[in-house]
Amino acid sequence: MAALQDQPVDRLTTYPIACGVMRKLLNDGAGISYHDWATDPKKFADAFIAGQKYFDMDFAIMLMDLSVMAGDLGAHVRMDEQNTPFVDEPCINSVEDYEKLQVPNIKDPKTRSHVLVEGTRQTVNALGKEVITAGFIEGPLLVLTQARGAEFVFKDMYDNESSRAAVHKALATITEFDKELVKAFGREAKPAGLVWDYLWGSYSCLGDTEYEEFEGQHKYAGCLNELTAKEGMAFCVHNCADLPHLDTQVAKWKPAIYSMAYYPLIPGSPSAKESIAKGYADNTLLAGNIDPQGYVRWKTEKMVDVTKKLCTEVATALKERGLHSRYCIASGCEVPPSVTTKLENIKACVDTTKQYGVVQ
Amino acid sequence: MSKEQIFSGLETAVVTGKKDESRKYAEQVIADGLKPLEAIDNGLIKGMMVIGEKYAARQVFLPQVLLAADAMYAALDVLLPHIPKDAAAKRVNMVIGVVEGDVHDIGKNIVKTMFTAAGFDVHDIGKDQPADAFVEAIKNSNAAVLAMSTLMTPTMDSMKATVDALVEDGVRKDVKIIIGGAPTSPEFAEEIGADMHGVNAQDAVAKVKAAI
Repeated sequence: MAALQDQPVDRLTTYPIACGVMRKLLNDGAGISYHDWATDPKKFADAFIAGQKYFDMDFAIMLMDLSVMAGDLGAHVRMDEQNTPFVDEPCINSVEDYEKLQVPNIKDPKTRSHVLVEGTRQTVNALGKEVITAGFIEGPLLVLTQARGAEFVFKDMYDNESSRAAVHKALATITEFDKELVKAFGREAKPAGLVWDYLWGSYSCLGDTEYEEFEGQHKYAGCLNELTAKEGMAFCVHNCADLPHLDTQVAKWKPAIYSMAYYPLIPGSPSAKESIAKGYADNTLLAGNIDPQGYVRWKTEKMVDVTKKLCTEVATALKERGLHSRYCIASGCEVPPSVTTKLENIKACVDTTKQYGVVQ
Repeated sequence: MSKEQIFSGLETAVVTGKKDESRKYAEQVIADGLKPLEAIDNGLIKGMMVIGEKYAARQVFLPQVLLAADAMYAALDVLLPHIPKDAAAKRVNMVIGVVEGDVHDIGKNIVKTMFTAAGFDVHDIGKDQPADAFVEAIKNSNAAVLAMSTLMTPTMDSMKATVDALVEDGVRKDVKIIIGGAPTSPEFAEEIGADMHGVNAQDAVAKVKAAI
């Protein structure tokens, strides 16, 4: 909590976004399938609880996958044994279909929205006094692109006035769906925070004008962000896209936590020190930005080295900005939930931050 | 309408993403007996180059790029059947696809568009494609280039499986392989035996052109 308020702390906080990979810790270390983890609230929660015991992190953020809401809207979700579930058959197949979307009944135990809320509730009950907990929810435009296919949505936005209106109609329906989920998180699961995935706020995808029209404006993200706080949860954002809309999503929206990635090969991708120097950590706890691939491919020595360097970079930048603690050493995106992900690298990241993440 | 006006109309139709307009001008090319390749070079490709530059400069974004691509393909559908066989044979064949286990194809489609605009004959085998499908497509199209993409970490191994399948089949030596997608890197390309890694569509086109 001190880090969120930029109070002096003994060290930086840390949270590699380890979610689906935690299923490897269940079943006496033999692991369970992705399907079992993503459809059973108890197993979902048990994995986070086991992960916290194993890694001793500072947060628990209950991300399931990005097809939960689209699946409940009617899209077909493919669940491989050991791969993140994803939509393989959209439910919107024409411009006319946008208007057919209906808000699902998320109290129905068959919906994965219900599984997500209930699994989050069980995790919060077990870990809420120990770490900062947060639910994870998909923003309206993300859900729509999952339900229709991103390429079609982007074209429908500007193909003609009729298709443009249909996109807005669908976004309005999904915003209502999101409101139901926010209330369920706030009233039933009661995590300390709620993390919104607003990944289309990326200059590789949409400009300011496009993003404002199709997600940023008050009737979409604006009112959802307000509702999050009204329901008693800290408003947080995760955006692992390249070239994120920091002026909108951080400076304007002022989330408590903003989790972001770093793409060194992409010109203009903001590093940790650049983000801090430009003032984005002045009112928000930034989180990032270790390459998620490192948890799969690096030797543990390299993970230690990279984490140490990031701690030093962040500590220096915070000091230069006159800040104390507003950075969390994390992965830029979810730690790959692959069976080949090295749990020892997650542990190395956490332990190295605890040892070397000292902020003077 | 003069030749210049028709070509200019094609270019504008692509830049503004108007597929009905581009198709109309393409049909005019055929009706007037103009050379389709000249129309592609001086109309469609010029338009896509403008869009590519504007996208790189963040003056337009994905929606506009995708609509421009649609406009280009609508005109190509009209023009390509009229290209003389000897000219068509000179185009470099390439195969592009998303590897097995992944259905994210928006990046692949942008890359395909830029290669098409650069004069390649692109054979798109789609998404979630097993290694065998890539091998088959390369053999069937006599491709000199293979482009593969994935957005997800767990499916990166499918890229290696595809390269391995090409080696096993004996066609690896016949193609230059470029990979791309958010989790990939030049190091990963080297690790799996690919030739190149592209950060984005423009980068991919430039690297492949230099390599062949």
